[in-house]
Amino acid sequence: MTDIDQRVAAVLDRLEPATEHKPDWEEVLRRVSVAREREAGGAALTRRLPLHALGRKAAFAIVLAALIVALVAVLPGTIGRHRMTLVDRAIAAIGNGPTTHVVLDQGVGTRLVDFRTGRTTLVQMRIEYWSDPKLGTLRISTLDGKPLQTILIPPSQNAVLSDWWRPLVTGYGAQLRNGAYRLVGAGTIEGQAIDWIASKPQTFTDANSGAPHEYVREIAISRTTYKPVYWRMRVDGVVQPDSGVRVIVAETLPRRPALFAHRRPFTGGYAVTPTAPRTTLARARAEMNPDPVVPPKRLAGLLRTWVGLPRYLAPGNSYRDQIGGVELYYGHTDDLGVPTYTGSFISITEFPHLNPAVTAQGVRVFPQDAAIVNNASATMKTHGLYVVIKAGNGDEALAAARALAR
Amino acid sequence: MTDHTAASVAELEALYRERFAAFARVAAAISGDEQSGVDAVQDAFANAILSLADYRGDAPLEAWVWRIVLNAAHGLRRRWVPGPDVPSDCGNGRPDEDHEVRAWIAALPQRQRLAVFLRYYADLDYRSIAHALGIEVGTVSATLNAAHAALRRSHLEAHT
Repeated sequence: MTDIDQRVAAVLDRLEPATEHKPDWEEVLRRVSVAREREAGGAALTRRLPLHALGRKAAFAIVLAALIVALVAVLPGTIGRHRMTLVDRAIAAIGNGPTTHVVLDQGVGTRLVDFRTGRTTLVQMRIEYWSDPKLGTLRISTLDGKPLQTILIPPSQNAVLSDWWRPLVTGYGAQLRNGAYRLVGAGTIEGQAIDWIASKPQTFTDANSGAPHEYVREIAISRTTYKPVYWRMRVDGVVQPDSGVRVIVAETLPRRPALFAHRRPFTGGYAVTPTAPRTTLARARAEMNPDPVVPPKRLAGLLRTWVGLPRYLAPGNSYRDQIGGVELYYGHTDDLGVPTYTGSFISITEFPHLNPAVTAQGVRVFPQDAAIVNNASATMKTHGLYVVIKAGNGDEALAAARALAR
Repeated sequence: MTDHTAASVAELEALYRERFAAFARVAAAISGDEQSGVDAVQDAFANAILSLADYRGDAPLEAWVWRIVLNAAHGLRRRWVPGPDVPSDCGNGRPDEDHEVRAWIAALPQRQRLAVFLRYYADLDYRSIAHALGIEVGTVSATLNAAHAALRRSHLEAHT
């Protein structure tokens, strides 16, 4: 250490002397309670908290009461002497069984782009869920009706389910009954008259940037069947392009243990980390076989700002033995130089091998010399690599896929 | 609390009790005063409890918590702005020199400043700093070297 380093160290010691405060765990727990109470009371959070973590139970009773008052005035209809609200009807439509059966169509606008022929065809990507709080969730994914993957997710691994629509699969009926949703408007979905119900806004802090975001889940309820027909997420008031799913089936049924029997529980798991270590193209080339495919430094008007290891991890992995591959990121970064994945951006993650961390995320089809392109994502196999593309919109995702296919 | 998390509230509590002083010191350096630093640590751990399901064991628990603490401290930041508004009597001794070094540190790019804080105040090794800042271990070394070089330059410019 040089003299100046010692001097800096000495001054740093003086500038910020060790605190005399004692740890106060009770105060931490009190703040947890306060945060949950604030959520229950509907007050704006002065301390932003993660989306999923915000307490809901206490809020439900209050919101339910408010909903009943608000909706009765809006929605006519009676059962006996009581006026039925939209939420009442939605509760009745979903049923009260212990097993939730949901079929989601992710294929709203999903297309197969064949780079050899130039043809683009619409494809139907569906995921069917059978969810039982005690037995787990059976997930069956299909492409144009052909089963691709069937896995049983144990109740303890619900995090494997997509964050977007996990509540629809695991707790929609309960949330309706608890008053978690309110009527926010009307409209049409594919010509069908619907009413939009929305969850209470929830705020969370982005782990990377520290920026607060507000999440609202929105469900289109059919005015004919009172069943959910579309599910989407709105973040900071903007509908997320890759969050929308058409709800083909949503019902609750009696327990069906036979469905879950003789299924091997899914153990692969995966996690997506907010950040992964930075790497270099030279290192990626040295470590990957085949070599990474590297589009130009500027792609779809966006500059490449990050080269890192994939953010995809199997549970328990450390950064040291992170799944092989590389992520090329184009777009905005935060003040630490870390991708923000907001606005216009393109994230290309290339894997030399398929692994559960990749395939576990819903339907994952990797067509050769073609790409499955969704609203804001794409998957493909090119130059021997399995590629997952996430982007700000479908055009950016397609631009990335085209660049990789060359 | 869900049972699929890679860590428990008890582990968080153990980490809190063991490393409170380091968390509070770094948070204070970022936020601007001791009370804000402590406040940030309390908020951060409350936040960590509420978001424990997000922690999936992909990095050490402490590194994950550091990230949350850094974010919380940034939210409460009031000081570390270079310029004449820094009170000259801050710190416990030699106000002029403290003021000077404080201004140099404040002028560092954020990543360098955080790396310095984590190194000096929390005594984190390079790997832990890398986890906390979401950068590579090699980058930590380069970042700290750059910070030291910048401070040396500031010192030379001020005293030659």
